[in-house]
Amino acid sequence: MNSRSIQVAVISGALILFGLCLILYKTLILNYPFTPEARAEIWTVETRLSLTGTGQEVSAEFATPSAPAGFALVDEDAIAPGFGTSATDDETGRRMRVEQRSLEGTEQVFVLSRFYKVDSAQDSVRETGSEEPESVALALESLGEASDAGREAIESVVQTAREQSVDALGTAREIARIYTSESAVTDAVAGMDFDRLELSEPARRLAFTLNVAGIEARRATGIPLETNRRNAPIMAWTEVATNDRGWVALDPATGEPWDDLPLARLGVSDTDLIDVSGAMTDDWVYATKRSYTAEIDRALWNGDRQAPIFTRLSPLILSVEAQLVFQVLLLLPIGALAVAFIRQVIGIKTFGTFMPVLIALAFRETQLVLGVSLFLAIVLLGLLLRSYFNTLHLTLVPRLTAVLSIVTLIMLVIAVAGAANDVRLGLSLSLFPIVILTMTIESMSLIYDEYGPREAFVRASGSLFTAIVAYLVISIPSLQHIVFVFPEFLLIVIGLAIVLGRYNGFTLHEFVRFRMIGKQS
Amino acid sequence: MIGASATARRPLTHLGRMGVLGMNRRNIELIAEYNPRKLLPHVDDKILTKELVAGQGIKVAEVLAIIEHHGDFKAFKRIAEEAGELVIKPARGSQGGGIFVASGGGPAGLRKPSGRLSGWDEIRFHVANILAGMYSLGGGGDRVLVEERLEPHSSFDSISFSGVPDLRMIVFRGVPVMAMLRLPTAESDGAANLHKGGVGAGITMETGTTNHAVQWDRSITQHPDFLTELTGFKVPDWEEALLLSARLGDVVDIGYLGVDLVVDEKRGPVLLELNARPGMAIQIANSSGLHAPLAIIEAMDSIPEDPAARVRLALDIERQTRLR
Repeated sequence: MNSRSIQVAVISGALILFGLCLILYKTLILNYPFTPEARAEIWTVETRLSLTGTGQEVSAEFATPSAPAGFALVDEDAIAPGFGTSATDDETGRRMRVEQRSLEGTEQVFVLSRFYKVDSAQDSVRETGSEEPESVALALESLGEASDAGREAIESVVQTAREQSVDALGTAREIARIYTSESAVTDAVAGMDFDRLELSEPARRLAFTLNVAGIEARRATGIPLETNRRNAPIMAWTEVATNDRGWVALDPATGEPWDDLPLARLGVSDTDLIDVSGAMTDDWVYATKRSYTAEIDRALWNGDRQAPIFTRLSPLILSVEAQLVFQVLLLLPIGALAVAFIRQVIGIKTFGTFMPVLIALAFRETQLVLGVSLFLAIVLLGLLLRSYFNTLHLTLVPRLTAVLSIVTLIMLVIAVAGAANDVRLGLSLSLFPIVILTMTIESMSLIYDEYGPREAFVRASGSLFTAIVAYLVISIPSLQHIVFVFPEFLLIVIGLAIVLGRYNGFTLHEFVRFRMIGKQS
Repeated sequence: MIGASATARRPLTHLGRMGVLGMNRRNIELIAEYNPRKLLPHVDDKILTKELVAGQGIKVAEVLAIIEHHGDFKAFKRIAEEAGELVIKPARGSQGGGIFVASGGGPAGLRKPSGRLSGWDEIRFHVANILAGMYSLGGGGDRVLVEERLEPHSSFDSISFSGVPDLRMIVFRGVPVMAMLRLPTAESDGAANLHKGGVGAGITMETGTTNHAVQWDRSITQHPDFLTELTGFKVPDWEEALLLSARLGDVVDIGYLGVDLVVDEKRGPVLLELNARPGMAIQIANSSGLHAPLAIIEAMDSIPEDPAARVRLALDIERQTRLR
């Protein structure tokens, strides 16, 4: 290997490797989708409040949903005309406060919260202190005031559950099992009556019992993200604190983690979910709606948080119009690589170097069969008229101008004829490279005059074949997607082009052409 | 770097074993390596080539006129009417494109060797097309070269249909490597170009006789029009032709050079044009690969300065590398 070959190997290797690394980083870490069909789940929760006032100062504070485990809140928009709004977020949950100096009549307030599904790894892990949790202390204090029967019942439950389990989740499962199977115990516990604490509710009973067992747990309320609902039920469940997963939602009936049901929490313990003063609350509902967005939207949003540089450099931030342009432009190098391969390794002759790529781009708009027929029709008509111009002895550039005008007119006629028959060709035709076609017609007739029909046919079919191959390559849907979402794919293309440029082996065509050498009779 | 001789490492393909040189390899290892870009215009432009070899004792076809603008046509017409026999070609034309041969002239126009008369209008149109760059490498405008019409040596009469047969030599570092005779046919319409249907006949350099012939890349034994034998034909003035191509290695600093010569009836071997990207068809005509002789010459530390010594070297290498 000489130094040039080493340089080529190093440069192309580095380019290909760098491109691959970027693509892997974006797919594996930032979750850029590799296929265009990838869809991300997105939930929208609409909090709707209808307030009727009598001209007094009104203020309302109500809970808005927090992101369930495995989801992230993308945005929260309040639509409250005439109201001042402020959002708060603390340990007990998210709240929205709306205020108006004087409200007359009925007004509606909307809050739209959108949640993307994310990897659970991104959830913040809760830090657990070594001290005795506040909820446990409160529970033990309450228990001291309870009746003996109730206390004994609950202590026996805790004792049994502890013996049967090793961790918090196991204990919770065991407690729930006892409450379901032994109704006498359940009744005794439910009979305990503390201030505001009705232990007949399973979620609260399970949380309280866990607290008595010294495990940090709480009752939570919220809405399930299950189906599209115009009025989602507010339900209660139990949450237990774990070291590795933070707060885990439990089904109060079974004590099992509710992993498969996303629960958007509204509040914890017994905080009020809504507090209105100065107006009547006519309506207060939470609506849930599931929709899907292109995975790439989620990846961009996600990437913006983790590695903003990639999002800023992505063509996806361009205007839609510019994106459409680049969706086509970014395919050019791919098609050119296909042409380079065909010339370098297969050895097929074409008219002009990149004419086939541009024709292939045009085929992309018209589809293959229509595109090939259009191409043949335009070139044949152009050739006929060009040969007539030749008898007029026109000089080169004016003749090219005339042929160009004719090609344009042919396209117009075809488009108009198509429209009359309800075939829309307008937009697809516009991408047909008129200038390239003109030059093709010119060089083809030149080859025809100079080298005869044989050579002209060989080159024309070579060009068409190359264009079709280039078209087939650039119309692979995942390739279109990949090069747009991962523009660094072009680094790989450059690397491959450099390697191709140093390919010094025989072309397939040469194997046929030179096959008789040394084999003569 | 063309690399070690084909025998150093057993190649996998039949072509590799035959030492055939492929297009990609020619481009990367010979043209990019041995042909400096800045010299290429001198080779691509026939007028510049003539200026380059002028005063070096190399015979070239006599220039009758050079047309640079449409306005020069009148002067050209006067010369042409008088000379009658002439060739009109684009200075930067490639592969024989745009060449017009006249065998006689008069007030009405110029007569082609086929006997057809081309009116001055038609010729003016052709000249305008050349000036517009229709036949030129890389586009852009061009100049028109008007030369004397060379008369092919009479011994070619039995194997050449109308037109002018020419010799193509590959010269590497001043050493002739391979040669072929290009013969016009009826199918090629008097052109000696192989891709127009001309016949290519490989030449054994030691004897100057043809050894093998092809048309359309296929082996043939007889001329398609005269049915005469194509092998065993002795090229007239062969030694002088070989020496002339070897001397061009001193004149032009193009390492891998194609030399086109015409053997004229009266003047002997005359330089027609140079080519910095000579094609690969010469290997089919000789049924022999270029790789082995090129590798030997590349491996040499020094090349003899005397052209005659280089010719002897060429014959030596031919004896070593020819399969037959």
